Amino acid sequence: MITYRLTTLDDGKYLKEWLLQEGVQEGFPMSTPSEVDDAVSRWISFAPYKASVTALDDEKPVGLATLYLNPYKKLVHQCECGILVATDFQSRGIGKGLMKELFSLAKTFHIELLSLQVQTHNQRAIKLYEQFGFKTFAEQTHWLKNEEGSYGGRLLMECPVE
Amino acid sequence: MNDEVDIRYTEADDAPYLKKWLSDPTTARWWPTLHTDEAELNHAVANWIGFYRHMSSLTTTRKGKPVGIATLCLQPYRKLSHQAEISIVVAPDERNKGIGTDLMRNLIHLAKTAFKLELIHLNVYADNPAAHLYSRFGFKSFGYQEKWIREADGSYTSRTFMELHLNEYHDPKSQNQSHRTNAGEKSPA
Repeated sequence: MITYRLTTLDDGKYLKEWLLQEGVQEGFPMSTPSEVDDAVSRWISFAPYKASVTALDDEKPVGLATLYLNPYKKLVHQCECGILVATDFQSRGIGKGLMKELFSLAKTFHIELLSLQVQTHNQRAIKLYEQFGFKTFAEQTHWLKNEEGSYGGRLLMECPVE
Repeated sequence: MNDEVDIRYTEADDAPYLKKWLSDPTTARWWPTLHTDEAELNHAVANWIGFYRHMSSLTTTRKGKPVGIATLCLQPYRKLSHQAEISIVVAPDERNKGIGTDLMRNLIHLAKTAFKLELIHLNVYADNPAAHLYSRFGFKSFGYQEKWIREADGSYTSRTFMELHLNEYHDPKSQNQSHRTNAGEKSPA
């Protein structure tokens, strides 16, 4: 059974583990262990602000979603978010559950608008975001460059928090 | 422009000038920081000026005093290192003198030669006249966000995302006579 709780700093090691699983990095711009460390430390730094939620299978973390709270007052009505589910636990509705938790959490911060970025090829994630009402407001075709020289695009999407 | 004006790499000591410009309400309306908030300004200035360490930031001076800063905000990850977001600001009393145009030309040169960048991008707030400068250099819109800033009165300010593929870049020099010649070909000393 899947339950949800606020993220703790200790969850960072699971986040790192998931990001280093085979295939996962194709969905993210990080490509070396030290880049993954950098991303994990940024992501997990919002845990002490109670701006991050972790999905548990029994006691074990299997997914995580975070609000990247904005540091400036003119931006506090909106916020970028990030979401990740461990490879072995995908397609079980955990992404959907995390997204619901994230919207509840956003309300506690009086956030009116959630945004995120996703790579153009990640159709599964895009479908999930669209189900929740996210709409694309920007698309960049040459955002990422793979080692062999091919390019990847990103979409920026947003959704009002009702 | 004339001989009083020069361009060089940004130095840590330029920070107080950047902070002063961002504290000016006519400049601050184009930036996410609140011009009256000391902590926000310090945070933003430290992040911005920090790129001096990578020599990816340029400062224009008049009689030795900074009047504008343009920066390549280099990406931390390898797969993103072919592109960078850029930031440009000109002192409030130095606008409309070609400082921004000159900075942009030199920044593009730096991006291509020193960092081998293929793509630079930025976002510009609604009604910011700088959008014309970006268009003149060939920047094209790739997105628009309506409710980016919530102003103190509850209204919203939108932003437009623009990008420039540097292999498609053509110097718009012929359309502008106000700047000195050859500035674009010269790397900062």
